[in-house]
Amino acid sequence: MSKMSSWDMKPLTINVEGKYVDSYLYSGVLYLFNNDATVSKVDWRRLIREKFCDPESSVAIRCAFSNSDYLYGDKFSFVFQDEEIKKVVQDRFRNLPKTRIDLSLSEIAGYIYSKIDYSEIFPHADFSISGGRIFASSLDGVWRGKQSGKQEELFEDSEKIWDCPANTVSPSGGRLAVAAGEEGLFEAPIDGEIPVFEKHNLSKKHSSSCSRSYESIYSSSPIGGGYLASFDSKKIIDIFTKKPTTLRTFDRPIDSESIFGGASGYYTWGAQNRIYSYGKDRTLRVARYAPWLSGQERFQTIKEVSIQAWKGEIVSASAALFGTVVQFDNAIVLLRSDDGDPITMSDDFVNWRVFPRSRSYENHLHIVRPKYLEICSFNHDYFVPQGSKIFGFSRQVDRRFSGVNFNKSH
Amino acid sequence: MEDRLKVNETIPINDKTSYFIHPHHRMNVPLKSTWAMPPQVEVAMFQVTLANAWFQDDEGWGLRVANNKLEQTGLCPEGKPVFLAKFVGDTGSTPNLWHGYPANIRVKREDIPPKSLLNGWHSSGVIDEKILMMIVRRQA
Repeated sequence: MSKMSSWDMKPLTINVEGKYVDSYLYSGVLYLFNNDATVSKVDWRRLIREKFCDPESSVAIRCAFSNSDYLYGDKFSFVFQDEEIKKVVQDRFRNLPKTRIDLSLSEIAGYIYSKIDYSEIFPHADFSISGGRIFASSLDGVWRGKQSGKQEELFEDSEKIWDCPANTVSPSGGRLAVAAGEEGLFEAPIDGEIPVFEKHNLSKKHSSSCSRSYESIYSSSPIGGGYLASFDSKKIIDIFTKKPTTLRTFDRPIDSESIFGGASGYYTWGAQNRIYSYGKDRTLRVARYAPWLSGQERFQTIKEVSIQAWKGEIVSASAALFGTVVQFDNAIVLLRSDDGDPITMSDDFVNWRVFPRSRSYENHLHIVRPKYLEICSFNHDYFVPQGSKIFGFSRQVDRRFSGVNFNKSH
Repeated sequence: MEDRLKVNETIPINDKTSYFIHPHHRMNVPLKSTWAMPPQVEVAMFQVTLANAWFQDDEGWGLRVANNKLEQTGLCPEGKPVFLAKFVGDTGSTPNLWHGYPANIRVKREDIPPKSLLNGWHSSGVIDEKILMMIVRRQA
């Protein structure tokens, strides 16, 4: 599929009126963190179903905002091998009458389950839900609880598990990674009923955010460049259950300078099979990470792009399937997975997040604007061959892909 | 206040409080953050902190907001701009002697303003949500 046709899958936006500091989408519920230290739980699935029931637009809107798994998921992948079906779906996106939808407070009011006091944790630095467990980090510690089945509650059995200021909480695969600033990067098991928070310090080097790169964890920092906390994994037969399982063991932290062959990078980040570096020369470098290879072969720089000076210094960044999102002093920039022209967005925002581990919202970028939440849905990536992507990590990795080298200014 | 205050100068603020312009944060001392603001602005920030009781025990925090943006207070030892000020006082002395430095909240846990103060700044309109989240995410 050509670049041009992938971009015909227009980015769509829903703006939700209100003053928020953060938002989170999980399992059909939109959590709106209000600026008055409360959380509104919104029945997002029902809202999308009922507000956009027109047969002409409902397929595109539901895939865009409620069920990215319909198009990304394995369940229907065989269906989209049929070019005619693929074209029909693409036409549904192309023919949408408008790409921006505004929802007022009165329009969402009927979908709010409850408004819950959040003053004990507010304001958080990060919030995450995985497997029905909620984690939040703040300047005074890390919190955990069970996702409540009651719509008038947020947590069940919530407790502060660590009194260390933490920036990012990243739960996945029965483990919680915590970027804890000058204390470094930590990981702890979170499966089952564990009474004690048994954390392991993976590195004492500064960590301001972290994300999963297969079995490993990428730690970012504006102080000292960042590193990959590298884990080895191998398949073994569990001696008790006699079933195949993965044995995961910590290897070592690998500095970003080693990953990028000494190229200067003062902010680096990564997820899954992509690692990114932004240097003082305003060059953004992308490396392919292939943990199944050995030594330096695991890392191969596949692209370098220049960033315009007016955008300012880098502040933070995240990797997503649809590209990589970079926050500079004066703009948020999306470098798209289809290598098309980057999208530059206004710096008039409170907060932003992507959902790289989500099953249904992995195409979302949420930007909290001063008076509304902007939910951007990027849909160009659905039909981009996942193995040939440059920006954005791949959903299914083609191990034969070796990448290309060329430069371009953005 | 005098137009030109000097390093090592002690300025009486009131009967109970004096402020010392500490050389460690003016003379590129290794591992110390360095003020980007002139001494008179440093003292003015402390006076605002004092007037608003932005303290917890014998520590205080200050900031300056212009056009909904935090003004840079200084540089951290790693050379990055920082945007808050921290003040520490010897409350056992008479008068209490205080000094301050650009707070390095990215790296130093003890430089982070307490949550009660941060929420107070936010609820009273001193900072908006954007600045609140910058501080909470330790990007200031």
